[in-house]
Amino acid sequence: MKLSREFLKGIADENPILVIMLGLCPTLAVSTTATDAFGMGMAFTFVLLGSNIVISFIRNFVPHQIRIPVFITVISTFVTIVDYALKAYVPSLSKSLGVFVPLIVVNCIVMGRAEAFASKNRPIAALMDALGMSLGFIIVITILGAIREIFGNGTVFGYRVFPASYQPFLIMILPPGAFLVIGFLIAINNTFFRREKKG
Amino acid sequence: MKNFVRMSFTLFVVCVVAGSLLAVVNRATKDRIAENAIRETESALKEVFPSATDFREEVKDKLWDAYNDGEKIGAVLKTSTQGYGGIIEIMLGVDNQNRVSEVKIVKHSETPGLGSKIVLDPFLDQFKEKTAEEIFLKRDNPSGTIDAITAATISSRAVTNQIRKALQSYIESYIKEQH
Repeated sequence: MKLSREFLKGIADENPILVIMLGLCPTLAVSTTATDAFGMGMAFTFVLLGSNIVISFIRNFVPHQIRIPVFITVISTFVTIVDYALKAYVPSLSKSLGVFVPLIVVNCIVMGRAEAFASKNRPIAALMDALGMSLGFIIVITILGAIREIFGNGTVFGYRVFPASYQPFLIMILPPGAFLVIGFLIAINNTFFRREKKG
Repeated sequence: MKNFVRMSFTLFVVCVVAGSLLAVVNRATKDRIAENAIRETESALKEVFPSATDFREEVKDKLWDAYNDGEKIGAVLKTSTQGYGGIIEIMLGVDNQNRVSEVKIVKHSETPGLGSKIVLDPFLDQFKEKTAEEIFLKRDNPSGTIDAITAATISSRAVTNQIRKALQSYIESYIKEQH
């Protein structure tokens, strides 16, 4: 098993959002601005890295029947650490992400990677998997946030790109805009980046 | 039976490790989080009553007296109401003539781009130096002086009416205190 493949698959071929389509709820909800989206991506990365590595290390000690409660305990520990750290050091981001930070506990991507990958592979492979999946997640959610912010508010990362007279295309920062943009992103990924799956 | 013991023990170990780790993190961040909350309240107080130099909390998280050089020049009220999309938390300063000094929306979940305009100055500046009798939407009451935000009447009305109610109940309890 090649490690580079474990890393690269998360970006286009098995992108957690565009192909596996897990964790859409936080993805759609916090991508109203590029800054929030990127912050969410970083918090998510920390949790996925931590939980994937720890779960991979303990995978042989945990009896099969209780693996889910153990996974949840590990994941929620990392989420709580992130939540406290954000509250203490980046209170503004913590405020705008709100309830979606604690909700990373039930983010299906984290749970899905723990169950489908980390519990069956070596820690080094789990690390590469987590890095690739996180990068795929950050890229997509940040693009999504940037597009919605540009059209819905005329700014990106808080910097104005359209003149102040620009009449914002409100639907883009409302929920329908999120679905619209993610649909286009999925189509673009399927057409240009995702290699045909064999068999 | 052996399996049962092993499962319980594994879960126990995992929980003990997780719990201890969280205790450490909590210890490391607790003070800073509390400090942030205090700083946030202080800057909000300063914003709604810029001319005051000192605030004393009278009712926890609800009422502060505003002082300038030891002289009481007004109060700050914190109140909340149901808006269009959820709870709206409002802070307002009241001067000694029972007029509003400044208003700040602390928290809200109104529709982005429409109801969320309640946090902007063009709307909030309308409340400056108004008495309770003037704080009505123009469309609701002939003595009203507040223009609702286009396409966000429910949010505007919720904020306006709650500011008036908070001001009135403050004046009532304050006047009672005097007698």
